[in-house]
Amino acid sequence: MGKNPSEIKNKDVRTKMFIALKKEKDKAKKKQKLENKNKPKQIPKTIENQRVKDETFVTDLQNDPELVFDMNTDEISKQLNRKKRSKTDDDTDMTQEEFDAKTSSENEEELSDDDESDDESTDPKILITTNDIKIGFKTYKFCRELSRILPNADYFYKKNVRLSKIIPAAVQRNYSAILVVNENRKEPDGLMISLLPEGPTMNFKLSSLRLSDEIKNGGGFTKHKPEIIMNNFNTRLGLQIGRSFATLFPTDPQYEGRHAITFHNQRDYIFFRHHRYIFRNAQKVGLQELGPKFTLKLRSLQKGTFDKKFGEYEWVQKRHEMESNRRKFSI
Amino acid sequence: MSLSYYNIFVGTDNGLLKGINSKAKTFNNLNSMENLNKEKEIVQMSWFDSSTQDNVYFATKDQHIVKYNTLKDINCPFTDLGHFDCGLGELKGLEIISQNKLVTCVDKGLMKLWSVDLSDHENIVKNALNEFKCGNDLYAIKKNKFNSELIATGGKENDLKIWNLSKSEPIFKAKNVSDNWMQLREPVWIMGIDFLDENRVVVGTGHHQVRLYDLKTGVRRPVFNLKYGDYPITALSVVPDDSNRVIVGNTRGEMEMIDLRSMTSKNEQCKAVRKYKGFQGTIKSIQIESSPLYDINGSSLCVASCGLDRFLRVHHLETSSLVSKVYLKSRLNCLLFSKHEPIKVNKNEQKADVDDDQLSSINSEDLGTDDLWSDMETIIDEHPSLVTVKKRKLEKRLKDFDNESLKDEKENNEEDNDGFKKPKSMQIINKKIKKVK
Repeated sequence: MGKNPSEIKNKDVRTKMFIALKKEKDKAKKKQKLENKNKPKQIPKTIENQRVKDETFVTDLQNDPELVFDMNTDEISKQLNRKKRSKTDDDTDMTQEEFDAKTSSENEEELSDDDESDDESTDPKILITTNDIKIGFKTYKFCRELSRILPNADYFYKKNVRLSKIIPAAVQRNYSAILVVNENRKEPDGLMISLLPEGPTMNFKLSSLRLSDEIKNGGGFTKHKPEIIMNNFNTRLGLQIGRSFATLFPTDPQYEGRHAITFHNQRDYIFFRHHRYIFRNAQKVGLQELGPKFTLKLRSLQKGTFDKKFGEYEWVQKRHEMESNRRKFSI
Repeated sequence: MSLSYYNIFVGTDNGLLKGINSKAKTFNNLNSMENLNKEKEIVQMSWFDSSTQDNVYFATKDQHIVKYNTLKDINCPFTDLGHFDCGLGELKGLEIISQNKLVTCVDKGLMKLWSVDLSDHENIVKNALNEFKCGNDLYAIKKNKFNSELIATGGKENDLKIWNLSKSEPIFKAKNVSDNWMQLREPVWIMGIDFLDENRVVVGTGHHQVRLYDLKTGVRRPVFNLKYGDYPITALSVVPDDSNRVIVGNTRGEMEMIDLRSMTSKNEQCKAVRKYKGFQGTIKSIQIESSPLYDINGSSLCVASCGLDRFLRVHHLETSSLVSKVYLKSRLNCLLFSKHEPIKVNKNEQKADVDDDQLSSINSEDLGTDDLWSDMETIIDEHPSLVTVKKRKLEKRLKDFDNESLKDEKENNEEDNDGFKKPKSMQIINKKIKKVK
């Protein structure tokens, strides 16, 4: 029995021995498995749970009076408050008339669009353009999809107008935010979000974009207001960014639409996903991906509206200084 | 020697005044958060007397000036000097000239000299002594440390002017640099001013230039015109050791030490002597002070800086190492760095102060017990576990031998009482040695 079965020349005996050996091995394996079951599971070391401690981490938001105070007085809170006020006062018709008067020179189609959104004027109003005048088809499609996802958003061709002139014009026309898509090699690769009229402005790198028709078994789009899910925006910077994302969407989701937009932060990359869900039974939930999906990486957070030359930055990505440690994250 | 719990004071953009102990890395909000808003933003802070550094004056955006006493045990450290009618616009600068004179400045260009009588806390008398019109879009105002009668102002399209407070016209008006090679005018935007000495002024501009003006020469154009980086310079401070060095910070969080004489000729970019790292956002204020807390290689000069990234950082000037970093939760506007050491906030110490009598009584009792303890013999290596087996054996042998020798001696004593003790004892000692061996 002590002999190695591969050294036995009789095939019949050899196979028998081999089978016996295998049985033994399997038994031992099963035993080991049972033993392991009783042992407590080890937590794997991941980059996330080995994260370097950050002083700005927000653990207990409500028990930090200074943080609450700071958040209630900053520019983003003004946006949120403005929404609430217009809801209660119902003086939105005035602004709408003004808006109509100002935009009378523009196309009738746009006006009719705005009329549709008249009764939902608590929504933020968003302007989408591109950085370049001539854009590729994919960028155009991406802008179109963005304007479809964000309720009450308009997409305009850049034409030959400077961004520094677009922003005051947009403020005049009561837009609450402006998104600018940057294109490189005929593919969108950057996204700038600037909240109006007081900022902040965020600059993102955009990558791994899949439009909704490139997604397998992707679902169709409905015009319901989406639900928003924010994941892992935990530091002070993350909180700022998460809150400014939230201002892009209306605060009253329509639950019958059953679709949710997720901003998931992992290792400083923000993943944008759009799903329709269904509760199959008490345990099971079905998900269907609607497009588009992409990832964002923060480049800079700037105080005030977009001003590349003279703007003051609250946070700037400095790759060699900040990313020397793999386990250090800022969002 | 002034005593304070804090050695750095910081003003935030939502009106909070913070005291920081940079050694313990702790901070406290000195004023309460109630009835504060954006209008109460702290614009500028200044020492009342820069030699003692125990009173902080700070100006808020809505033209209020408040005094804060930094000393340790004062019931009501804040005294509100009330609203100063500084003219239209936002308050930009505040400088203390002498005991009861201060200068305020608004961004629309009106600079006012006030005399303030602080003797009566109930109603503070303030009179505008003089007014100066400094031009529109003012960004910076700075008092000359060496001659407090001189004040420099500057702003956007408003070049450097130096005022003598006794005269109504500026004593120096800078002239813009000559047009560039395209025959285009160079724009002017002064953002930071500091004095190298009595006659030399350094200026940082929004178009990323560092300029040096000399009042003595009679030339109205800058003596040096250097470029630094690509982003607006928001803060600037002179190294106080006559070495022609300046520390400069910009909107992207780059802070570097520049030697004013080290111009590289081609592109006029100045060479950085030293870089201070770790910033995430715009630097709003820089101050250099010698702090006894951080003495590395014999130099104790430190750079404190704060900005929009909500951190206060203290770097060592010569080694450029980060010696302290405190997260302060709000966006920071301006800071004051004291040369004094902060007192430790030690709970035990405070208790000792309060219950002095009780403690002394306890101490006297303690002394009695101390005597008792000191009377006792100290016992070393008596515990069996501490003594090795060999030692124990040796001791046993010695003991046995001692007993024997005692017996011997007794016997000897019995045998002969003459003076032959010495050799016998020698014999005994020899025996002892043999047995031990």
